[in-house]
Amino acid sequence: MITMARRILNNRITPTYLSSWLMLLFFGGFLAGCNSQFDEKTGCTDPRSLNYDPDAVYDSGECDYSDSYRYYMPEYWSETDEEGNLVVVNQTVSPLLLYSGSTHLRVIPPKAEEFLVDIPVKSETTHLSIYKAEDVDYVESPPQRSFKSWVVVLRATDYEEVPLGWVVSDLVTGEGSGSIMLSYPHSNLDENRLPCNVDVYLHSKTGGRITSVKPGTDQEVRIDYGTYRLWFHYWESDPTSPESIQTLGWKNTSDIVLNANYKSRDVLIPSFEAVPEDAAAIMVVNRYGETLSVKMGDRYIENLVVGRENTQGMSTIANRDTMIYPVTPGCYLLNFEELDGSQADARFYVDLNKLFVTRIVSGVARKEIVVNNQTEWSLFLGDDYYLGAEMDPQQQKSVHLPENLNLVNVFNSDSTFFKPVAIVNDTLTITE
Amino acid sequence: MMKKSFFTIVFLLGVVWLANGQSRISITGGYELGLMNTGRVGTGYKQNMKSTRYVADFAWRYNGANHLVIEGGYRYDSCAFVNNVEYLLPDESSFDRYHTNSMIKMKSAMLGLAYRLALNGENFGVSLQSGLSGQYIFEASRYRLPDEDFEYRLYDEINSVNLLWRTKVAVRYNVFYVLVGYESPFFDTLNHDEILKTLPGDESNRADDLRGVRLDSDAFFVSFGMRLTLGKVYKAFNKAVAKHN
Repeated sequence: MITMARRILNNRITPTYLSSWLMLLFFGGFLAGCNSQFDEKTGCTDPRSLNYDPDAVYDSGECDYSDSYRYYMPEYWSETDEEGNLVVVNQTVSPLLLYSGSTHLRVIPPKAEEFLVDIPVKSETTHLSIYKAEDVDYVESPPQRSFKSWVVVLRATDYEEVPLGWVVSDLVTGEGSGSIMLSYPHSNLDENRLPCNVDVYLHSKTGGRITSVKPGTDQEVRIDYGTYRLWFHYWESDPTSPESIQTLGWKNTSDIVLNANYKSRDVLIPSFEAVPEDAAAIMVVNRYGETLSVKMGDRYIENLVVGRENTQGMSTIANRDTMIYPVTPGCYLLNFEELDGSQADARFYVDLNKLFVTRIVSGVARKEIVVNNQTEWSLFLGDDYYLGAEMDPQQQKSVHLPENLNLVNVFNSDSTFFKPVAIVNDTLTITE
Repeated sequence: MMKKSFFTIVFLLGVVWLANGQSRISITGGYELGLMNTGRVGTGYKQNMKSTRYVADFAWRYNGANHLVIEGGYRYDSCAFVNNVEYLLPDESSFDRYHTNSMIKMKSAMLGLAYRLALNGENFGVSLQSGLSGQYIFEASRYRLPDEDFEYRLYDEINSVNLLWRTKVAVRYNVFYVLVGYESPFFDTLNHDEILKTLPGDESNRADDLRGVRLDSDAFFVSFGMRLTLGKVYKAFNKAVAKHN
């Protein structure tokens, strides 16, 4: 070894000897270069990014984060447009990405009420898609399967045109959704109906507001399959009140079912009638098939109506029409007559109470039911509405109820007692 | 004091003997200025490195034009870097951005062994030298720019020991020389394993914005100084003494 080293050291300078030394130099430089330059990679070093490189030693500063991270940040949420042709109600807790075809339009904030979007209309039908933010890695290339989609005929934004509504919730899995066609006809003051605005709420008075409707307009609301009850909030603009609106009252629909078989439902928003304070309201629905006159005992009901100056002709109801009469609370014998004076329906007593709107449907077969109230409460009988039958505590009496009513809702005045009770052998026994 | 003087005398006698007998020892002292080539940093990162060294070497001409060289020196590096990068906070609640404008300063010592091929005339000479040097960093600190305010000392974030492959080409005129060199480090001065342990924005990691800084890049340097052959110094010294006498 030592001899070999000595030989090398004692060598004279020759081309071979020189070139071997130069090779050594280049080899050493190359070795150093390999170590420092090529083995250690530059890349994104954040494990949460899409382009995370586990081999990277040096951060490139070019971490590409998923848009799902980004769109959970409020600074990336879109502002609602001032005018638009679509209103999206986001009932989910996720930000939603709205696409028209493959074009990304907006990021709708979570729990957004009435997010107005102006969607450019390029063809007769527009394919709208909604994705949850957490499902989208790159906003330019969303996944194949959307959270919700809707092929819809959109009209270009027009001030006069009411925008379409789209309620997006994650209560229903799958993409299935249907439409509720709301119509709110013009009312006029002669009918003593108020031309007020209506806010439509879902499920309850404090549920999500899905749209606002002005008199004389129709609106389509896209909504997931499911069972819904709509609540209508009637209000007037009132600059003197702190909220700048004055609430006139509430009404609600019975349950509306949307499913694959019933994809669309028409809902007529009822007009709002002002009922004077201390008056009881009775709503009469004419299903008799002919025009009817409504009497309380021997008197036409229009003579008993309170709080209205002009009540002429109000006793007459056309077939399939509905009227509401504010009258003094009390017990009345209800009597329907055809226009020629003949008896149209069975006579029966109704107890009118100012706490509830009493709803009576004419033309429906009725039967006498013996009701036995074994509780200590004053109770009221109804279906979706109060049916005009009031029971004192520990009272037994006969009432006339619709023949097809098998299950009666029994409740007290402040709803602390509520119980559906079945009619068995024409008897209704109410116990606690 | 006696001990120190004794060793100084022995050393000088040894040098004189070698120089007188063989003329095979030369001493080089010089100043190096290096500029680091920092490619492959990310788009949001910029960095520039300047290195200043005071070097000396002893070269032993053992055969013809072949020399073995021991070289060493003191080295002072400063790396200015700018980071401008968006990142996700550790709690994933929002994005934030680096706007770093800082500088790292390092003081280190170098010692190495090299081979030199030197072709020398009376006044002119050229040489090619290549070899391995060790580097020990004994102090590294972080400063803020533009005022170079001290921020903090770097400890675990630094790899104190490094190896460098250094190659130089020099031209000598009389006792003065200039050279250009190329230097490849084997490792990175920054300990990226340590730096990458925590995410940016984490309060526990003060050096998170060093993630993209790389101190492993090749450097070009220029150097100038003096190179003395001890035999010539000895002869010149004798001449001067004889003239004086």
